[in-house]
Amino acid sequence: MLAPSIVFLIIFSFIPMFGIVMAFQNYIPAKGMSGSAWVGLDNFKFMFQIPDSKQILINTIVIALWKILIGTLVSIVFALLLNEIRVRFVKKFMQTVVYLPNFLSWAVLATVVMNIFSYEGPVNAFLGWFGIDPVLFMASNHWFRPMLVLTDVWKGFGYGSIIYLASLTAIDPGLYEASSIDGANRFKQLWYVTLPGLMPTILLVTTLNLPNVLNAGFDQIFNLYNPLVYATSDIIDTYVYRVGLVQRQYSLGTAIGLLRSVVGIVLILSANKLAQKLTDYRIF
Amino acid sequence: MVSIFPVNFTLSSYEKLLSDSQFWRSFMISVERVVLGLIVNMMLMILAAYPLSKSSKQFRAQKVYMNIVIFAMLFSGGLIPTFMVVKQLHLLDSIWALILPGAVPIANVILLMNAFRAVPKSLEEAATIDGASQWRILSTIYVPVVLPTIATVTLFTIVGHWNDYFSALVYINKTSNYPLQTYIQQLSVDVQNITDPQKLIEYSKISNRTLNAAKIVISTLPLLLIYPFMQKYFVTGIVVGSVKE
Amino acid sequence: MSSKLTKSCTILLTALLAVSVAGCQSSNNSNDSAKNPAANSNDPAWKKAQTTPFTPYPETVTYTIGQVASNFSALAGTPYEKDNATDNVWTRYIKEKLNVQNKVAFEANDGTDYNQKVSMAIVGGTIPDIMVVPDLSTLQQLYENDLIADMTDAYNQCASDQIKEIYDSYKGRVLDTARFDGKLMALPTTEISHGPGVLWLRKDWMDKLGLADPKTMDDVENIITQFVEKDPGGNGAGNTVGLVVDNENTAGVSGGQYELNNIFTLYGAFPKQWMDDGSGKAVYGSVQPQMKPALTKLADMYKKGLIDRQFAVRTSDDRKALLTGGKSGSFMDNWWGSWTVADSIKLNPNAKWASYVAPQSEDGSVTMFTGNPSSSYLVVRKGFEHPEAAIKIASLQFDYQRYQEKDAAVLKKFEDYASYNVGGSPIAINIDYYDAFYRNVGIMEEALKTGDSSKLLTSNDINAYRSYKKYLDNIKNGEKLDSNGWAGYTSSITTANLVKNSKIKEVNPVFFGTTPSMALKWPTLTKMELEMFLKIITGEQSPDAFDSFVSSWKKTGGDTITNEVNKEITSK
Repeated sequence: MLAPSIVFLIIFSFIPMFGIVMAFQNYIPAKGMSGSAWVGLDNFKFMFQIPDSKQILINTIVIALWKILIGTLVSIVFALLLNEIRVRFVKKFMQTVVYLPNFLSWAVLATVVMNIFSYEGPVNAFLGWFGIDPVLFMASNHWFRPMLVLTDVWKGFGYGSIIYLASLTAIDPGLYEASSIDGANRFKQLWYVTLPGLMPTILLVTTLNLPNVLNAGFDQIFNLYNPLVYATSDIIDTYVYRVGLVQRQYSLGTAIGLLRSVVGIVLILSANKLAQKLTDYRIF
Repeated sequence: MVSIFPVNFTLSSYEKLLSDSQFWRSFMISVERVVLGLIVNMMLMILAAYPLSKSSKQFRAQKVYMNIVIFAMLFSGGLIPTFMVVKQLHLLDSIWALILPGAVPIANVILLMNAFRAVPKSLEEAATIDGASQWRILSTIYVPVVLPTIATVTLFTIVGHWNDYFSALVYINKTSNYPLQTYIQQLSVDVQNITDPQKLIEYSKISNRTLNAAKIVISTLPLLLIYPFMQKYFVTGIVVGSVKE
Repeated sequence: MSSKLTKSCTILLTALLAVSVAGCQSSNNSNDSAKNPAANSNDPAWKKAQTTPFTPYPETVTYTIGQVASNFSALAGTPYEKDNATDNVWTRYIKEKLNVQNKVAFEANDGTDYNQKVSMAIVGGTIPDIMVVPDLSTLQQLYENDLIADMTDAYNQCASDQIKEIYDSYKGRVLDTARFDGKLMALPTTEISHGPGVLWLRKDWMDKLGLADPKTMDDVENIITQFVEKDPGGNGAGNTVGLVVDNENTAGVSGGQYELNNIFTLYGAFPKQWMDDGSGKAVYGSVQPQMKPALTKLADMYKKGLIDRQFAVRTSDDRKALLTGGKSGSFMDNWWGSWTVADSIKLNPNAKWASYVAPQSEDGSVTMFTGNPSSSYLVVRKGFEHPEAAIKIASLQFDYQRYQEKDAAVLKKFEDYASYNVGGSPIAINIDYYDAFYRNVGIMEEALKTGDSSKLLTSNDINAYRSYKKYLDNIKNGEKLDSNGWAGYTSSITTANLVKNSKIKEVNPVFFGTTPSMALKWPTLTKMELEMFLKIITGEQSPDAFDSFVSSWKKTGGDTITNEVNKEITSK
């Protein structure tokens, strides 16, 4: 049964992996991979020389981690709140509304976001009522990363909360009863019963999200950023796109792409290890 | 600033859109892609997730295959090598170039795999005693049980195929064969690298901003229409797929 | 399941083998090229077709092509609505006149997308019979890898006299860039003069505020200040936007749209250009000391709101909308800037734009740097049976159709295409005189005055004449103005005259190519440069940050590249 899938993976994933040799070449399209000159580790050396690579590596990791951290937090809080709503209709309605943005593409959402946070947009108009000077959110290195995290969380939190909501209902009600007999207040219940109960789910979701966050940053950032905020928002994927494809530096692009894979693997393997250690749950 | 709904809202751009034959052609290509992509993805997904969900006691090479799949998820050779493979297979410019490179959506396979794992073993054991084959067990026991999860990944797959614009930019050589999102993405011409005055004048003449907004709205509609019907499934679906028994 | 495992392993291996075998046999497959009748060189009809510009082939010659996509959907509802990339006014004309038919190998929008397709075709090892490559380094690569045909003979025999005359008018500046080891390897596009930067202002706003035409930098600043402060467009206080500026190219592209080139050249700065420093040595304009006062000035203007505060985040759509929607009344562009804002006439019949060659220096002159004389190249695949077909099509398109075609019914079709803004021609280069845009303005004005169009030289001019005539008649009769007529007349007559009569100092950059280190380091340097521009103008960094930019630019490879550029210049 596995055979067809494995065949497809070999053809479209494993064979192209040989393309990684480009990272060790001065790749010239017309000469192809077999004809291009080998340059050893030159591309990697250059990569670590240029100020960009350190910056995009930091950007990639920082943005990814913030998104996961805030995203998880907001999803859990929302799930807890939703769990308190008893009116079925209200609950369903809330869910429908907050899941929706997850299904829209960034190409569409970007125009909405740019509008809301523009100089003349509603957010700045609102700030104006309090006498605050308008802020160029999307053009400020101070604000842009928070904006990326905020909009990403906004798009995904409702959807992310689904899993937590389900895990909540799966926690043994007996535990709550027992704790309330022991005199625990709601906050203590949350801390000693709810959160430990959610822990395996949190770890699983976070681990599965890690490579996703590294990948999926592209569409969002590509549609929202501008040269002024490259310093804080240029991630590996956007850089590879601009340098590797548009400016046709295939070898450098591939070398940097390889770096991304390594970052991804380190992140996901450590998360997997952590999950196994803490909760004994096997993800793969 | 740009707005999804143009400031001077008129229906004329929507009327003009209805007469744009390429828009509808691209629309149909997108529909075709979603349908074909869905069939291929779902088949491969189920066929891959089922054996992988078995313990290594039942399926000795499970660990090996699992590692292969995970490796494929984490590592990629990049755009150009993948392009070369697609080209060598003579898939360029065909709808299969948009479908086959992503034929096995690994994240969804893992989701589905976890759902299969959650199916009570007793069901399978009873069927095995009755002499049912693995294929029969899969189709009559496992698939019906994880239907909500299947509905969920179905939605993911539809959304993924519908919203993707980038692969067509790479694999499709004729603009008349672009799917809808690529067609829309192309409406704003990137004039960064053009310096020839004659061409630039041509581009300054093209202006259909409000029309573009109309196109974005219409292209999003189908998803908004499908979504409510799928919603009730995917809530339960994801849960079955990812929460420990 | 172990037997299953063996089985699947076998399938895997077979598939792997099959694909890797397919991967080995690359470049020589010819599925991208068309089947053609063998040319019989003894047959006089074939011989004549292959050695003259305008003789049709005895049998249809088909070529595959990588072409820029045309906007055929604009033809919906017209008699041409069934037209497509291989069957349209241009391809039918080429078929009829030369018996040559195109077959699309790939097509994409001009710019990044098209360039990406060209790269992909080269990567894949199969290039189409004919295509346009976007830069000299790609042409060089193709030549070094022996993928393209020598076009020397084809050019000598099949380029029409007029085409040769046009190329000669550039005195080798264009054609020689495509010569390697004495062989002509491509037909270069000729980039006509972009003219100086032109400042476009809302004339109706100026009139309302009683402002005189600008000359100096102070005049320009004053006008924009009044626009922003006094809100002549009725946008509400504080809502009028200053100069609309491009975010990726603030300056540095000859004839660039929304670029501040004139302000930089006013200070003697030539951003992004390789300039002669006076001693015969090439230096990079963006790191020269003249940049600093120019950037200081712009930072000051930004602070005062004279430059769009959000320019860094605007897309090209946004920029256009600011101007056509009346949010801003000023932008620096080029002589065809009226086309950029043509829509404002549709949205607001009272909107009037005027063009100025400004800001001028004390002696009343404006300095401009010229562009790359040739930015793209038409190449033919080595092994294509009819390399001369490319030259014949070019001669037909840029000579015969423009200067010799007199059939009104045929010309009408091209005119229709122009009015729907649809290209259609498979070959997206241009071969025209350097001074094309103001070359014939005198003849045109004469014709418009007398109503006698018989002296007009080209079919394009005759089309334009009708459009301008109608525009002038509309004005005379007080009728509603057609935006195309207005934009055409304003750019090609009003602004062309203005430029012709202004004091323009042309400066030629000395290098346009790429060097070996550039290939690797240029993207990083460009990015640094871009960030520096934006940060200093928007005040995120003080103008003093320019000095540290210069030193890190030099360290990060700028010095090496400068040396290479100088070496390449002296070796030529």
